[in-house]
Amino acid sequence: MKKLLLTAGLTVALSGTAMAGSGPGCGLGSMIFAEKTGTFNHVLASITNGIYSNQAFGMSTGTLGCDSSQSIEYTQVAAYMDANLDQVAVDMARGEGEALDGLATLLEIQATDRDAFAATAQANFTRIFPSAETSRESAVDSLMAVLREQSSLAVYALNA
Amino acid sequence: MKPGIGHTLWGALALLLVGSLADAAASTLFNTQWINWIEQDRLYNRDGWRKVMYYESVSGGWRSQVAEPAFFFSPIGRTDPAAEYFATVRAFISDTPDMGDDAAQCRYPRRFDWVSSQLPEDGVFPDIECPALSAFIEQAAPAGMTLIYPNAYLNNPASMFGHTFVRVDGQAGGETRNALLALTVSYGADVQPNENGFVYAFKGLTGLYPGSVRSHPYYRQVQNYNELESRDIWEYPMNLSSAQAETFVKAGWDLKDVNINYAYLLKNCSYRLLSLLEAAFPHYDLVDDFDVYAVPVDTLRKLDSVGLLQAPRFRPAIASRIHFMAEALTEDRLELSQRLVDDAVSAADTKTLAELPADQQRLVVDLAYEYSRFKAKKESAAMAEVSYGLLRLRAQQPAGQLEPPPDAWPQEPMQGHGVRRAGIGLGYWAGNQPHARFRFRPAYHDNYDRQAGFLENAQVNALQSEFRLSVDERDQVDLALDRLDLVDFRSLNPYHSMTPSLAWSGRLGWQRQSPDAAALPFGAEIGLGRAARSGANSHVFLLATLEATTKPQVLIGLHGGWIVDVASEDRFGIEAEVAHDFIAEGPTATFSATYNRVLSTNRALRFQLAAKQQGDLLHSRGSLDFNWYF
Repeated sequence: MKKLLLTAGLTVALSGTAMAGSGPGCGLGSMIFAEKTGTFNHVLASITNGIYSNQAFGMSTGTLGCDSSQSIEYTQVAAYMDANLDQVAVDMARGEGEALDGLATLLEIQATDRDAFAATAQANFTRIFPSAETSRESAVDSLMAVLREQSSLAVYALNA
Repeated sequence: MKPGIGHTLWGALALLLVGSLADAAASTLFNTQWINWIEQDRLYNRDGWRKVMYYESVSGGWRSQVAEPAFFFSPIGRTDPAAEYFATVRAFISDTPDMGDDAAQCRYPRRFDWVSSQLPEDGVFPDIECPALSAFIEQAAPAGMTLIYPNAYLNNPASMFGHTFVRVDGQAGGETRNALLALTVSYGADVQPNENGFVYAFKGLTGLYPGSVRSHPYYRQVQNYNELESRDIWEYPMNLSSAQAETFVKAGWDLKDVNINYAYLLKNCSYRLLSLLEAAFPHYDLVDDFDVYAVPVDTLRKLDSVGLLQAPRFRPAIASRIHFMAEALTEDRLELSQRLVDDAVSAADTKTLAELPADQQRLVVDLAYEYSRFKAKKESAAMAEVSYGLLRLRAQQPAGQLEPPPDAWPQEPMQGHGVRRAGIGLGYWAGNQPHARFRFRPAYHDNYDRQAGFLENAQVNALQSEFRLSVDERDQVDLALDRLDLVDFRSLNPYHSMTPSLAWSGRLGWQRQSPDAAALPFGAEIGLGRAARSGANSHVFLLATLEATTKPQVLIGLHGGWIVDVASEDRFGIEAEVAHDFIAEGPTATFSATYNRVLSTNRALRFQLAAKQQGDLLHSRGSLDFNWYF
């Protein structure tokens, strides 16, 4: 797992202008369908082609700014979920999708278990995302709890 | 003194100076074998060195595209490839293991690879560990590369012609890793937050922007282009190996934190990307063809012509997904889908939904969800509960989703006509002799051109000119400029209730108003309104217009039209304009009909008839042009 650091971290490595904790990312507790007309949209808007502001770059911090007491694996999943919470939520509700597969990749779920993972996520959608205000922390914790209950998937559950 | 000898002496001096400082490397430094090797083959004159260092030919020599002094080891490195070569070798020799990531070899890994590969002996340079670079490459786990082309986007001057960047595909357990997790390498201008479009246009056109190479995870790019800006993305797998992908990552690393000026027309994202690809793979000549401007689709064609691109995959934008799913539903189910969002998942609509067949329920909810996210661009807070409510419904339905199959994809950008257009034809102004016409447009596409491969109904004409060559009764030959547009935009996207958009136009340029008029007034015109689908193959539009010219005129009016796709690729349209001139205090009216007959991808015939009533004067004219796109 350590070899597969989240690519958000790469952003920082190549830009060299990380500003931990100054934007969406670990530790901020992003929410599903959170207000996106504010800062978050601004970040996205400013990476429009040809338009990359230094500030926007610093804000996509990846795993930097995450709680360092957590395991690297958990941190990577958290950072990915922060950036893709909506996409993962809809994929879970649909029982398939590329963003959900990205999460499965970070959880190192074997190809043979991915269908079971997607089906479990769909079946437990309302438990993982009990409301429109579900935070990333809560969604990840619930997902791990759900995985632990499945004998075939328990091995993939991460501890915070 | 011959230049070669000068470089030799310079290099020797440099090596001696360093040699006195660095004991560890001294034995190698004093080895004059080095200088001989370099001089014997003039390694600094090699094409590869020029590409790795971004040298371009300028009058009297060479100059690197990189202006930043820190990029060079020699103080005159930017303009002297030989001096830089010696200084670079010196720097690589002087590296010591304790320098870690700051070692020259670690800072410029692509340059180091190239220089090492040119020398006849191994073990010349000290072995240095580069922890940051190694971690970066290990994380990227390069397996291959994909050229990414987000479609043109009319609502942002930076994006009118599309964009290109590279995705470095990763591998995990011997297989290609999820594409969203891949890193991307792109070049762009460093625009400050809140900088407005006019500042952007000015600085971009004049080359005043700093620019740099950046890396974002691909999921960020997808969110930005597909979702936020609603631009379709084309993904062209590249014929490159995992080793080549690693070399490319190193080439990107060489430019980390290095400023390279951005200029909108030529030295833009796509051109710089070609330079970066050349630095990684010097056996390709990619930038030579571009000397005035580089349109992203032409850089795609260049990469395709050298065999680097495979057939693309299509990643539809949110609006495209909405339109595709909407097409698959009957009118009442489409309305239900829209109501689910607009009425915030009401009990009545949920009940109606439950009565549909299972596969239709799923499609209605999937469409509603996409629509709610599209709507959330403007009403984010109100849409949170709606989107969530739809997902709760969706989670109860079977897995799977409807995606456009390849035969429903639009034609990929390279299938489009060439972006340059030259026309030759005959024209006639009523009451005058027929004349010859010459037209030229350096870029890019208009509402009557063959639409395949372009953003449909999006017209972007830049620097379009029209000349008239006529012979009068006294056999006097006259060549006159009748029209020159700086810009001539028109977006006639048909309105869709789930993805509402305005139609608009804008033109800035000179235009002669009658054949005898001596003046060529400059004018500016803007229009705002709406376009709507009027059939499977046609649309209508109506714009409110405001125009001012140096004639002088101030006109307010209406501009309407109907454009229909005839046969598969031909287009026919009629347009009418009525306006009131507040200076001449009178009305003007123009009526025109246009037919574009497509002969092949890059050839077309265009017929146009127009009549203009201005005060008591009626001018009518006709033209027939042969247009060649290239």
